[in-house]
Amino acid sequence: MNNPYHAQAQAANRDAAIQRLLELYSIAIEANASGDQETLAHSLALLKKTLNPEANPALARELASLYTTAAQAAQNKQPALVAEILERLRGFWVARDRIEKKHFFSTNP
Amino acid sequence: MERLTTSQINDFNNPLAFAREREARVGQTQSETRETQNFRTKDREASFRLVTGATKRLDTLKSNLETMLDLSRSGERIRGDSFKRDTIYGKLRSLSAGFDQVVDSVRFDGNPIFSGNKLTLGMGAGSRPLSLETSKLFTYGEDALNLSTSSETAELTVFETVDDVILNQNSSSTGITLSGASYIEGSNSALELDNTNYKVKILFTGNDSAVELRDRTGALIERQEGINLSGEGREFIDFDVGVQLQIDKQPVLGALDELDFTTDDPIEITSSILYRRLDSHTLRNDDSQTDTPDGASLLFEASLGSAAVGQLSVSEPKLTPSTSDSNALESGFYNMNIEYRGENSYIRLTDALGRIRGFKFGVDLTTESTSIDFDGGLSVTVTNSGRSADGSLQVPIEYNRRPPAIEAFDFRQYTQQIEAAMVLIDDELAQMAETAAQIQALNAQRNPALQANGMTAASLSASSSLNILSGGKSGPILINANTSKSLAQAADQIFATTTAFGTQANQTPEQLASLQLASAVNILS
Repeated sequence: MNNPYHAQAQAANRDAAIQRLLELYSIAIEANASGDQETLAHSLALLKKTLNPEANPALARELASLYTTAAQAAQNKQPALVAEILERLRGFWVARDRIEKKHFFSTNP
Repeated sequence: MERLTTSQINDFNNPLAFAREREARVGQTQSETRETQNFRTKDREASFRLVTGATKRLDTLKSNLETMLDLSRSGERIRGDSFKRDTIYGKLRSLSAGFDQVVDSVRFDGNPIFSGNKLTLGMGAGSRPLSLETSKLFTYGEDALNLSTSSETAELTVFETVDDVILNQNSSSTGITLSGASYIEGSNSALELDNTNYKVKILFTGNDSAVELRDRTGALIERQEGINLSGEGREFIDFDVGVQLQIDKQPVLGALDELDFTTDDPIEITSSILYRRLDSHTLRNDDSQTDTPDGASLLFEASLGSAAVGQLSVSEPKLTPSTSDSNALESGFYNMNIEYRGENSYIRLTDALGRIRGFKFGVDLTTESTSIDFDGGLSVTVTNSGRSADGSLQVPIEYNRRPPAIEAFDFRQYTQQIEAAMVLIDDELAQMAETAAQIQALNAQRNPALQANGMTAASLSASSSLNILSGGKSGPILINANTSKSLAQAADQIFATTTAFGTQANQTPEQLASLQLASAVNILS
């Protein structure tokens, strides 16, 4: 059960998944800034599609509604609103990731 | 990193692999290089771009170090499997070289940012500029990450041009060929050759030949005389410019030695060499070995007989390149045993435990001076001043040569070095994040309207989380109450629950790759 290699591999997988998520946000943010509507729509759709409501239904619902708002704002040519939403969400994930890592390192020197 | 093939491992572990081009002479330093200059950005946006760009690169560097750490840890577990060891060492070398490339490519105004520079970040008119001192993040050098060592060296390539071939047509029968050239460490750096081609001219006159080094225009750079090119074997010729030439002697016609060069012109053989100044990139952590310089010496002057009845003596023990790794001599004490039998003498080289490490049969020691080259990396000169009686001579020799870096590499210690480097990168990341937050805060104070600009907002992305966490100096401007509430609830869930990442971080690498591709295509179009 307590296999350290397994735990290490799991942590690596988790890190990679988070990096992919942050990269996806970055792509969306850049697409929005450069006016690339197609990529922005694609990124938002991907974010929505990859939500897993089983893990946390409340969060999934809020995120889905935020992505919908962002997609509508993109259609209404409000790039600032899209940027605000996406950047804030990205910031949350970055912060959460950092907090978690700090905790991990402090308990496992 | 994927599996490496044997030839890739060999390439990666070649001592001159990943070497960096060098312009300056050995030991040459400029009083003030561009790298230590203080430079400044022109406005707030440029400052922010610099900081966010640097942060992104630091993330890349950190993930590179994490990969190196994994590799080094797996290296610690290897017991005796040299193939695996070579593979991991090669990968580490490649990654650390890539690390330096990334560090070197993060430049502002032509200057590398992470080379211990002091940056002044302009904050626009009317604001005090911020100052940012970055650490030196190269893997080599003083006050840097201490993950590799760099030493000045050079690569020499021997080749023959068409005119060399034409010129050599008449003299190919001598069996004299320039078979190799190498850099001599610690030679006079003021004379160092430039990064270009040179000509080597061998003037063959038997045992009193000369070798000349000329530049491309034919001007003489250096000439070495009195070189014994008769007989068979290898001859090493050291030039003061820091080049050692290796000449192979395989005479086809024994009659050549009979030529009378006092009346005949010397036979000329030409060849070309390419000199490239390099800084080597080596992963080495055996500090204890640095004290003993490479070299060979006689423990005492041994000779057979006396000047009156004829004397046989040994002198000039020298290091030579070993022909293969398998028979390379290790550092230590050796004993050379010369059994003098005139033209049919033989020589044994034994190590401290009495094991035979080199053997030469049928050596003609009747000539005044004979160079004996044990292929393992040691050569000596035997001088005969009129000795004719048989006899035996024992000569103790001390031989020091640093083993190749890979053999003395300690993965456990390297893991610690990488961990220390990661701490430094983390500090740097924290410093950048703090600076970015400062710029953003200032931006919000000075020009709140800029916050609404999509372009600026996008470039300010990296620090938005910090800003929010630190109390949100720049509050939402455009989002309505509902969206704001949604964001607040999302934040609660993200920070308070353990299932947050499971809810959203589910993108597969393929999905992301296709999106990245599409995004790149759109930018291009």
